[in-house]
Amino acid sequence: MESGKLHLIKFHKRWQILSYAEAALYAIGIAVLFYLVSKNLWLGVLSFVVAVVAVLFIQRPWKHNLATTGTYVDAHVDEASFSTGLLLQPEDSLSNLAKLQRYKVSEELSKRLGAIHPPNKLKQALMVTLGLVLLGIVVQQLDLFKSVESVLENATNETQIQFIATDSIIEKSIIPKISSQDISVTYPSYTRKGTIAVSDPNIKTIAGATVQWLLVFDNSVTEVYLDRMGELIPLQKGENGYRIKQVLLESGFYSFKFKNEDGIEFTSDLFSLEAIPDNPPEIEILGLEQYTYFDFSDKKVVELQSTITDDYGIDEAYIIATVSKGSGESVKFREEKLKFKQAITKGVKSIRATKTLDLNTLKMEVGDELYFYIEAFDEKRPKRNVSRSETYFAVIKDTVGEQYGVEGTLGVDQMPDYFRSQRQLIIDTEKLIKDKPSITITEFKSRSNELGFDQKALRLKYGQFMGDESEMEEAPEEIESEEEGEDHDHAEDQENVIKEFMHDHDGDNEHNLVEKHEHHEENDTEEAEDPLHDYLHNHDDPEESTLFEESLKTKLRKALSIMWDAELHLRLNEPEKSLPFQYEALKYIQEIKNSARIYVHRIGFDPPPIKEDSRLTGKIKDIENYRKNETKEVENPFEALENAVARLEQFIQQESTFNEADNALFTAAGNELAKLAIANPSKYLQVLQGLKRIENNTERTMANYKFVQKGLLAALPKTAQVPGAKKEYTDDINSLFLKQLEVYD
Amino acid sequence: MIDGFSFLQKELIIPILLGGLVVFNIYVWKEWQTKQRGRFVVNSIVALITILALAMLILEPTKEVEINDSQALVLTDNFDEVAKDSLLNHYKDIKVLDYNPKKSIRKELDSLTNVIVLGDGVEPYDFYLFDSIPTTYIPNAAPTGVTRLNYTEQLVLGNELRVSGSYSKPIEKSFLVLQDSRNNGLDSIQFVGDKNADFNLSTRPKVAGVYIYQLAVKDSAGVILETNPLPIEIQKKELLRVLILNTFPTFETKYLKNFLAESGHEVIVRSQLTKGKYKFEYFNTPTQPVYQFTDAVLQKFDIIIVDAETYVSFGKSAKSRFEKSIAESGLGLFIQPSDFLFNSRSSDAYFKFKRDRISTVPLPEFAAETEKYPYQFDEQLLVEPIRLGGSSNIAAYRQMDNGKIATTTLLNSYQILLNGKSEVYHGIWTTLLDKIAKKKGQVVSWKSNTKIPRIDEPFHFQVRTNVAEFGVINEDRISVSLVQKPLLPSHYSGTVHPKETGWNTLQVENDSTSFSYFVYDNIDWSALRSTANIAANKKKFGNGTKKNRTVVVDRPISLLVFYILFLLGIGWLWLSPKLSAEG
Repeated sequence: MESGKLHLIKFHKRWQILSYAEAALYAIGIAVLFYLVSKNLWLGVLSFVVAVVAVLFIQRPWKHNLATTGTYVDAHVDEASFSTGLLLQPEDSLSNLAKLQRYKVSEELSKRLGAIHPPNKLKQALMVTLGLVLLGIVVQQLDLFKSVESVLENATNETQIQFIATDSIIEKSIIPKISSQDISVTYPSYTRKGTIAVSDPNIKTIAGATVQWLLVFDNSVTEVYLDRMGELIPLQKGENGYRIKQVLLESGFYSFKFKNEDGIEFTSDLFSLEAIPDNPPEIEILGLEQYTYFDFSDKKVVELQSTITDDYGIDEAYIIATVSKGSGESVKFREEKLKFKQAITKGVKSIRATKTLDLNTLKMEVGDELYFYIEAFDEKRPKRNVSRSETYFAVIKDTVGEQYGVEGTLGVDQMPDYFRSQRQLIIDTEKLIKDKPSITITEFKSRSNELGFDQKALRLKYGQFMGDESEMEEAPEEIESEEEGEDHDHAEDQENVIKEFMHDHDGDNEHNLVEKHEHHEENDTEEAEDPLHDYLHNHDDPEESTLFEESLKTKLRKALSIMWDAELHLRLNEPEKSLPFQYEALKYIQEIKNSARIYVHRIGFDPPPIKEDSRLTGKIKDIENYRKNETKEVENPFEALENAVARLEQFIQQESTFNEADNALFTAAGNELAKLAIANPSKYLQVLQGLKRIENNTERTMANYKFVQKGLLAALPKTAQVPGAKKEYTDDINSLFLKQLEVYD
Repeated sequence: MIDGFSFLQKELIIPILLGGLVVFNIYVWKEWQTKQRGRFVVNSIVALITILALAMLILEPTKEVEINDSQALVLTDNFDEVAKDSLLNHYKDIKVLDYNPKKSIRKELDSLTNVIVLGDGVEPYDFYLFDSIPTTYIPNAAPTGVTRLNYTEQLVLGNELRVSGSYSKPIEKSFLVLQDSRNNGLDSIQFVGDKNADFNLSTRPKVAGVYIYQLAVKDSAGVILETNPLPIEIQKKELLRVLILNTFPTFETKYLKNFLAESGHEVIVRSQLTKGKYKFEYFNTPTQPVYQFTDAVLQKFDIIIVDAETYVSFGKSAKSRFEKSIAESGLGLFIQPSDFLFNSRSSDAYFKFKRDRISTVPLPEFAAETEKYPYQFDEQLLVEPIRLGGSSNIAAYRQMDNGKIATTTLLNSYQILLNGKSEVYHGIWTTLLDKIAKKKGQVVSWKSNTKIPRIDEPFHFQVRTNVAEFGVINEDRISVSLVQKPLLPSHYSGTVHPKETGWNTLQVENDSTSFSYFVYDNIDWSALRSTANIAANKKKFGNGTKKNRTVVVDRPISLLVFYILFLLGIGWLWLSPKLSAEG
């Protein structure tokens, strides 16, 4: 290549380098200024990069190409004769004249290009840079941004625990500072949150979390304590500082205290510890009426949709469904625990759980009612939070209802007399014996048999007290078979249906004893699983029945067996023979009843015996005056607070200044406010801090007095209503007036 | 001076005359020496005239003149510029005076024959200035702000602080907020519409002491537009000594005595067990059985609570001792009601009842309802109802000289307590017993007669006391002169001019009893002050047409004559020696 073009390219390069250098100069100036102002190296570097990019974008040195360079050269070198462009064109495409000119220009440029300089503003850039640097130095010297800086500094230091000497004389001694503080909150394991490091000493976290403080001091200190609501807990000295762990169970406040080498005590500000309780799961049932009614012919299905949410994770959730059958006294309940369609993964925070409740599969019939609700547990330790939804109802309507009724017009209660007492039985039996000659044999036998049945019913009734089930099984059925023979089958069917889903141990046992064996099997399996079996009173088992004490039991047992005999003879149509047994049974029953009465008697009031001769004589010579003297402490839980408010008002009105006696007052006020503040630390923390600062003489300023007084006034509860006397001046003229009023009354 | 002549520079008369005399004597002496005898007399007379003319030039003689057309416009606070301009247009020669209570305008007023006052008016304590001048007052329209204000300046802890008044031309939707001394909001109302609004705010202060509550006006965004101070003094209630006498123990007494004892009062309960035998209970007080009701025994108690049976069964002498104690020492007697009380028809019963067959009574203020006997109080002179929870016919007291006897128709009030509404129960009994409790004596009673005291303005106060040698000193321990009323020797009044804003104190000499009054800033309660001034000025200056008064004024006599005399005299004296020399 010819030297002219080479020189042109060189010139072009030079120009570009100078442009970049110019940009760099500007950027350096800006960066230095920023660095000096902010005193932050990183900010300087950042501003440098930004400035370089910005200046380059303005100047765009890469936009210079050889053509523009050529134009420049043309304009500034006369010898180029506006032909520099020729150098850039391939030689072959030029005419001869052009080639000649090209050569000439090339020669000239080789000579001249060294002499001219590419256009640049380096000097200007240098001046600007120097100016910026000078400005930066001036700003730094004058500390113009001190306030801004201090704000920034404070922002970073706000979370740093600051210590203040409790005694203000020792300003000159070294104040140990915290060189590093590490506060970490370890969440309970079930929350799966692990340990979180926090910077703010005001800690707000879930109850049960463990908080650990690690404080490192820059000077040696002794007796570092954590003051948690007046309880001083020493910090353990470790390799790299002082460490303490506290379990956060309830809200409160804390501060640190330590002594430096000179034995001067320092105390930190007050910080809050706020324990947020783990909320129980929330259950929402979607799109379901509280009451759902079905006709018998309907498709009896309840679609249950619910969302269960918990703040840290659900442990378990299920549906408790209760089916009630029958009405009035014979109502029976059956409870079932149903699982949701979806399996619930432990620890999930929110779940949408659904279940289709088919009333048919629950074996519900006309008139039956289903109550169900959802119960959900979270994973809180040691005791899980539980919450349950509202109860929803599904009812299959019963359009046919039967009711026993007593006719309003009839004066006599026609209700059947199921049980006759033993005494009644004896009277009836004696009457039967007396009537025997005057009635037919059939009637006699029938009446004797009836009495036998009554005797049995009575026996069964007493058997109940023994928890004696087996003995009673047929009783109601017999009643039915005798009185409503046709309904027998139906009744039995119904009972069987019930029995299939009965496992209600405490229920009324009258009806479900036919299939006793089956149930025993079921019970056995359940009982095998039940580890508590040995520790429970099981009233189902007659052998374990504790309704009566042992002697009573034997008596009752005897009475029952005698009743057997009495019944036997009545069934055999031998009322005369039955009668002695009946009398004997009556005697036992009386004894049992009496022993029960003694039991009642025992827990009753035992009046002191009064001498018969002094009763009702009306003599009062032994009656003395009675005296009682009592001093009741008036407890005003906020007395110190009230006094502190009044005292602060004096400070604010500048009628008085802080003195020694006030120390005790403000300490007491602080304690009283702390009691209020436990429930709501964040609300009162600042007031409490302010109060502490007044107390330990770190901020006895008008602004703080006002702030604390305002907080205290807001914190104080309503004044209790208490009567009292007012001070009043009695004026002669007023008294005179009142006296005159009296006269003319 | 003589015949209505006078001099403006009165104070210079003697030195000038003396000086003149000296100059004249020197002249005479000099003339004598030069022995121009021929003209000695003439020259001396001319010199005398010249010196007199010079003296007159300096002394500026005046002459009394009668005038009756000198008017002035006195501009007071918040005057209307438009009104001022039109007045100036109408009365050409009217003088304009700026009224400032701190500067006297007495001198200017003296020469005026009639005055027009424009604006809020002159301060009432300056009215005397206008006593002899026919004055017309052109009042301002009512200002914006609180134009009427009443509030409890002194109260006891537990009682309500009530602030009422009216606010003129409020900004729509703005709030009037009663704040405590540290600007915690206590009660507020919102103004609807821009009409004058009456307001009633109340709160129960929480702490005893001396505080400056605030009445603030805030706009709907909560920005404070204006605040005005409400200085209040809250005193603590004093503990009571209570005696309860019952013929048999009742639940009513049991709960009442517990309430009183737990509040720290000294309570003695005597309930009869049987004839001559009593059960005594002492709370917060040493054992001292009460059998006989002598004056000394009764004197010890502030309140005696008796059931109707006990009180009726008292003998005549016991009863009269009770009444004496009530009347003289202000003892409070509370009679616990029973059917016995309502059915007794004795003529000397304190209260008369009529049957109303209503057995419950609502207490609207407590949102509660309670049982009562089916009776109500009959109207009687000296029997005043006690309002309980917004109901006014369930309790009443009868004034008996200094003391009071009270009773109620409430039945089984302890059930309110058992229902868990202890606040209602405490409220009822506090109201009842507060009403009748014996007043603790106070030696001096103070009363402020100036509603809004300000710096350098007169503050009038009233003192009542039975102390004989009585004096009041201010903060600088300087004695304040008091005016004793001739017919009521225990009543005094006085005036001070406070020097500082905030709390100022007046003290009884040689005693700790003191009285604090609050001196307001000039900007405080300006609307209230304007309203009061306008009203006072209207009243003072009335509306009727006024005749201009005639004023005698000293008019300066033109000094030209004296000047010419002086020139001529000097000229002669200069010329005379030359003439004589030629001659």
